[in-house]
Amino acid sequence: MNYFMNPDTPEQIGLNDFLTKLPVETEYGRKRKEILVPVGEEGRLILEQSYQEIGKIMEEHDRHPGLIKELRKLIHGQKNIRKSLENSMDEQTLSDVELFEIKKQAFAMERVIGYLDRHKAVRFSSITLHPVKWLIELLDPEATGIETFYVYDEYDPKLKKLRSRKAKVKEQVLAEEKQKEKQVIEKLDVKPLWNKEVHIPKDQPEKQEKLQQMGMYLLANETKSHWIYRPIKHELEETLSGLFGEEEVLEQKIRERLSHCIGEKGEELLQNTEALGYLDILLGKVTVAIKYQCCEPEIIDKPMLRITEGRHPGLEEKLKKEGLRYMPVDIEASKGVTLITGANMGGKTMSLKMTALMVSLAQLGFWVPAKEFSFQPMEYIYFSTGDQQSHELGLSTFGAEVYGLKKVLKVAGKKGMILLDELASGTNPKEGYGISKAIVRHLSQESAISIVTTHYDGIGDLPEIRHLQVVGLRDGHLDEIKDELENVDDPSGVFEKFMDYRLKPKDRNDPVPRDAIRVAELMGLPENILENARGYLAENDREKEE
Amino acid sequence: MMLRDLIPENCRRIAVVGMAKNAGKTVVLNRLIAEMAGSKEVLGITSTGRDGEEQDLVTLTEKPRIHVPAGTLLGTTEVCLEHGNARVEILETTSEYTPMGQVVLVRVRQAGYIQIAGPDTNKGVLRIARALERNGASKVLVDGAIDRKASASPAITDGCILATGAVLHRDPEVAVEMTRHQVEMFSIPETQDAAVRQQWNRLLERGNVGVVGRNGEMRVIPVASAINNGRDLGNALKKEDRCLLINGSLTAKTVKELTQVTSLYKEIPVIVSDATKVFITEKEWKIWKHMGILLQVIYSVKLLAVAINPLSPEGYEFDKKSFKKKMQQALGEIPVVDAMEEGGLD
Repeated sequence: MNYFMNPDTPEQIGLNDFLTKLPVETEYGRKRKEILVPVGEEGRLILEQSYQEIGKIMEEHDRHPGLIKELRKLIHGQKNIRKSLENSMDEQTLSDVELFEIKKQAFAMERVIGYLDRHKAVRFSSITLHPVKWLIELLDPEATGIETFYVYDEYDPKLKKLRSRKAKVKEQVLAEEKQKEKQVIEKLDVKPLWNKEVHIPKDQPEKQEKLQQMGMYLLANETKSHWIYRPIKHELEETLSGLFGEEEVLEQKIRERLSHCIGEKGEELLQNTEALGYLDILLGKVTVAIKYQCCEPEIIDKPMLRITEGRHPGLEEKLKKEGLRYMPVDIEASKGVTLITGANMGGKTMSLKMTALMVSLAQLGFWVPAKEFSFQPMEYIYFSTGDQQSHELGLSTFGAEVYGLKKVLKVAGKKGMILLDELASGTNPKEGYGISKAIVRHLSQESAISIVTTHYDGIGDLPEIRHLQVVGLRDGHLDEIKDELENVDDPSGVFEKFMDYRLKPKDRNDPVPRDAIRVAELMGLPENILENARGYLAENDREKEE
Repeated sequence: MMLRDLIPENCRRIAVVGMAKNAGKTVVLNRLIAEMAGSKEVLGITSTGRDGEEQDLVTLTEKPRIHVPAGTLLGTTEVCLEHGNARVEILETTSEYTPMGQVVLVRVRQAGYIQIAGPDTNKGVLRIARALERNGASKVLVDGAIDRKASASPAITDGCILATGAVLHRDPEVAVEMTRHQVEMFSIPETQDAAVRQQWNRLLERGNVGVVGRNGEMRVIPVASAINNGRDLGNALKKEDRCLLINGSLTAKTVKELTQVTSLYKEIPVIVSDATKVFITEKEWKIWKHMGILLQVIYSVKLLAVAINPLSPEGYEFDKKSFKKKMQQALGEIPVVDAMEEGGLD
């Protein structure tokens, strides 16, 4: 079973959006980020370790401001060299470019190790970094500390000798060429070209004769007007090209040796790359924890969930841009059903999304955007938005909802989280009410933590159900709201300003709020329609009482 | 005359482009390198890659094989490095990938032959050029291209040397005329409107074709490219618009379609990135000029010299002196140098 029963859920609850804001500095981190999976209860220790490590880095960061930035800078831009390491372990010979990358990463690794050694508080056992001094010595034989790579003379005295011979021969070749050139100029009064060719005009055949007598040039080509002569390759040049070949053989042997040395300790180096990726993601988690003012999740042994002053970071950022303040919400839920009712535009859906986001973030080892957060890791999250259609299956809103419910009811006996938004709102209200009530009643007896939002009255009457209600539009502001609504194009901002999104427990005897009519009135639906609406409602209520 | 002397002091990035294969581009590159070997300049060399040349991967024939002295900085690919015999020190990897492997920055430690290949986007080439400069190059040579698919290396360099020659056509008159046309393309005027330049940068992010209106605002035209959409482009123009911006290639067909639906082309200039994005024949160009089509570029190309090669690999040759004379007459001020000849002014 997938953790997210609906593949759309990570997108819908804002998890994907959140993860795009998780910064990574290395290719290892990027890769790890792509394959992040929520950890269940069996991984409780891993989760708690992650929470603690985030906390310790934050503490050390408080003592040494700039620590996070510094560490991120140290690992920044590291490429994935795992393939090269694996090749070396397979006794393959690495190229200069591969050796360069390994050397570069060794230097970076050495700096990270040094930094963490100076900050023991964040030298976690989960981050195993094997020493790499030997590797630096291997790839920087001249101990220059420069992060480039070359098959250095120091690798082999033979190479050194060979190269200096090569240089000498080259010098000789050059000297001879110069000599030749000089002779040509002196005897023929023709200057050889930049590419050492001698072009002799055909109207000066005596020059051709002279050149041939010199015995150093061969006719290579001719044009209508010129004979083109090239210098004859002489012995020294043959020697030189032989030296080039020898050099190449020797260099390749050195590469083989270096690759072998690296391959022998390949396993350790691979572990180092793992550690680098882990550290990268961890630093990213700390960064977002600070950015979104997150708290450390607490894992509890009871099937319940408690969010104090929770925030949805996506919505919070959006509101911030519009100059509005986010109103944190408290939610408490446990095994069975928690029902949320309340005003239209009262943020019920957002509360569900926030809950799902927090639980999944916590199971990915993140801190969460709340003041306090305690939970039990779930085996799955089921989130139904109530307005989704299934084009794939060709189902309507209601059809898609039922299809999903059928799936989730099968696993409702397991520890999971079931979030149903506007249950059965896509069909006629009477039947919808019946179905909703029956499902809620069923879920109230199951092990899963279910949170259900609904508009239907009377579902909260069921026993063993916790009922939360959106506080709603704040009284005493109605005229203000009306005024503002008349003066804006987009009414949503106005409601955001005057809506109290908090949830409060609803007592069974509290009256059901009639916010829909109020909202309709505020938004300016004609008075006669509103009056009739109130009339019909009263009629309906009377019928019910009778 | 030394080719080197035709490059002004303040010209730091020089593109060498050939009008056709075998026009002598490699000869020019090699000659420039040889000429600069003795100077104080630290030379950096890279190339614009070209797509769709699979045979390159196997034979590497079309990439210039050049002789590089010690100390030269190169931006070339892993495959090229493996095939050369120059000994190099790896300085940086760049994350610019080509079909021939990653582009790597190296310093030549021991002279030898090597082939040069580079990124196939202007942006990539620019990055490599900057990296070469960061590592100490005082002059950067870019082995450039002006064919349809390739990037416009002349546009991102300070100066350009054009290689041309007998390979273009058997008739020297025609070869000269083709070259003259290309040189004229290079002299398409640069827009002087700062607001237009600003909008150009925005267009690169937002679309392919846009119209800058009277007040400097831009309307992006929702077409995939200018090609085959000349009518839409023409219909989008309104009186008093400032210009039509085309990010991509401009072909004769597009212009023809545009002129069929509006006559505003006489007042509103069409602006493309640079001259290498304009694909028209000489004949079509003459018609455009006659019709009064206004063409401008964002980046003009500073042509430093035209290097001619009177030899064609097909076996024929032009008379060196008369070919050069004809070329010089046709090009006016632009210096013409015989790529093979050392003395350009004999």
